[in-house]
Amino acid sequence: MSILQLQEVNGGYSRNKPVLHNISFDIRPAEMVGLIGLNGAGKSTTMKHILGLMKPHSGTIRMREQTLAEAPDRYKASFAYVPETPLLYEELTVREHLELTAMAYGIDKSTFHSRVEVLAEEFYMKDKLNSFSMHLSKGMRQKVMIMNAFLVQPPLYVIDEPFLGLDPLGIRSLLELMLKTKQSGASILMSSHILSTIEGYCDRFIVLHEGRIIAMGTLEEIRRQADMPQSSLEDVFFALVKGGSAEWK
Amino acid sequence: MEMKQMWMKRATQFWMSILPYFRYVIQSGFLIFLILGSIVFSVLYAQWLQQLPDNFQGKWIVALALIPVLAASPVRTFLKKADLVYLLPLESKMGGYTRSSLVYSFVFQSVLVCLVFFVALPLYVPGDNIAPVLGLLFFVLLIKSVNLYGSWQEKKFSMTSSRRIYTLLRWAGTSGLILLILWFPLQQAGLILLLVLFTYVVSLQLPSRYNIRWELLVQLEQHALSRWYYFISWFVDIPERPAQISRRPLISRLTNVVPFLQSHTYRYLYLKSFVRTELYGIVLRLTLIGMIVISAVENDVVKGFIFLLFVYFCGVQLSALKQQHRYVFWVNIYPLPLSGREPSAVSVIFRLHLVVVLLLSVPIFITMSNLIGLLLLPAGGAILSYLQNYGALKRKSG
Repeated sequence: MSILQLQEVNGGYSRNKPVLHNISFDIRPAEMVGLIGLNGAGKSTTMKHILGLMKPHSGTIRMREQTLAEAPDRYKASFAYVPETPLLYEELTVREHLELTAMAYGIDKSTFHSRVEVLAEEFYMKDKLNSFSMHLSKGMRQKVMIMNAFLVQPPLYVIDEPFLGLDPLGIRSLLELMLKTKQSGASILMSSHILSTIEGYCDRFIVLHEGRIIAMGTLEEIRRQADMPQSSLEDVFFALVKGGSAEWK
Repeated sequence: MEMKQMWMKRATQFWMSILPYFRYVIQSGFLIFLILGSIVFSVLYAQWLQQLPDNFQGKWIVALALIPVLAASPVRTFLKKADLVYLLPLESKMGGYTRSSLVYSFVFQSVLVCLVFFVALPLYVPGDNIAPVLGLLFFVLLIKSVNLYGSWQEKKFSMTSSRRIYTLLRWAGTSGLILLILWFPLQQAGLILLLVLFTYVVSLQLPSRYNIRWELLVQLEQHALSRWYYFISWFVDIPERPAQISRRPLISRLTNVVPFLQSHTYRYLYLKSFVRTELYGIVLRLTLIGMIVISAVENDVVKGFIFLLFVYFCGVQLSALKQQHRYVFWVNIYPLPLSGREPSAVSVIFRLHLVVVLLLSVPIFITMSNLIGLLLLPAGGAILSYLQNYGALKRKSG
């Protein structure tokens, strides 16, 4: 069984100018998958389709075997999302953001308290719990987004470029948390440009280029696809994107 | 010269962005309400002036009316967040820009000062001679201009504490000077006034200061914008408007009454939004004014009418809450039906409105002599509130 399954998804903002071409992949339980590509390759657009913010022109997206139309609440309850740019309510404190998220995902109060305790400790946000978003730095806002997502403990995490603005401790905490989450059986789909960081953490990679998947698989597999054994993810990625049109089979 | 042009461009931009909305303001009947209101006010005011006793101390009212419009001196700068990056290198050339801002703010606020001055004038009886009146107006506008200059200088102070002290000083000084020129012969009073203003302007140079305190100015500009948009949001829905947030620690505990349940997510959000945004202050002020007016009026029928009027107005204000979070990203992500948002908002608004009805009923209970009215009015207020909130919802969905 897969947590998330995309089948031949074509999509974009207008039908005349599709951004995504025939995107197919799936994510299995307890798997961390890196979605990599240049600016404008279609990473965020792919994520928006997965979140249900955009409808595919054709193809299907299944979350735990069901599409958004079939079971909207179950679909949306299956994942938590960390956006690229932190999106916060101006009138809520950090703690209140977490409370709101807990309520929205039906988490009871005692579970909420114990999880917040751990997350705030982990991200050094204990003394910021009562701050408003306008008084937080970019990195702290990003931490609020991450804490919100990990508070929910859903089967799937969709994380868009999470490292920007995070301090080194924050990056380490996030990576450790992702590993722990994976061990507990949940899956993570993450996009990032910091290839050297995610190289050792992701089980598989999906390389997007101009809206198409040009390579996919474990580091070993995409090395083979690029015909570059022993190379780093960054070098492999560079070669793949340079050779751009070489269709992945 | 270049910076002056830029200021002109910014000011025009602001007015072009705001003016189209005035179509809705006029459509809503607000203009008619305003005209009728001023007619009713002038008639009542004239009657009231007629029956004033000879020894009535009208000067106090003149002073009370003038002090706030003189001392409150915000400066519109039309600065934007991005200016922190793009205008920062031009800091030394900003003189022309800020002068334009000061002149603009002076013109606008002087109109208001003149309006208050001439409306309040009949209460100040200087005799038949017209000269003192013009002299008085001259000094009043002088106080206004120095206030604006002072308020502008305060915004450059590097210490928040010195800014607060100077603001306090400015309000106190303005009050003192107004009393001075209203109570004493203009020649002597004017001389002292000039001396005080001169000392004040010199003293403004004392605290340490920035050339321009960009972040504060941008913040204040956003407050000014948000007030405009707030006014317009009574009449038409504006999706993106900057909000002004206050913590209100005590009253925001109110949200603890919302059960920690998935079904109550939006109620929690809306109650928090109400408590933290300007809406809270506006509804609270309106309710307090209502309570005072209801207590002050003697006729029971008028009392009841005013009660219902204030219930209605507070309902109109509260309904603005419904417009919030319509376009918030997270609403699309939460595993909650999208259709649940508006009913939750309405249920929060209705409950808050009932609290307002209860508060407005307090002076009815205390001061009304008619027992039937005393019992019927609060119930009537609750029914009006129900119709206002749920009548509208049915119309929309039906």
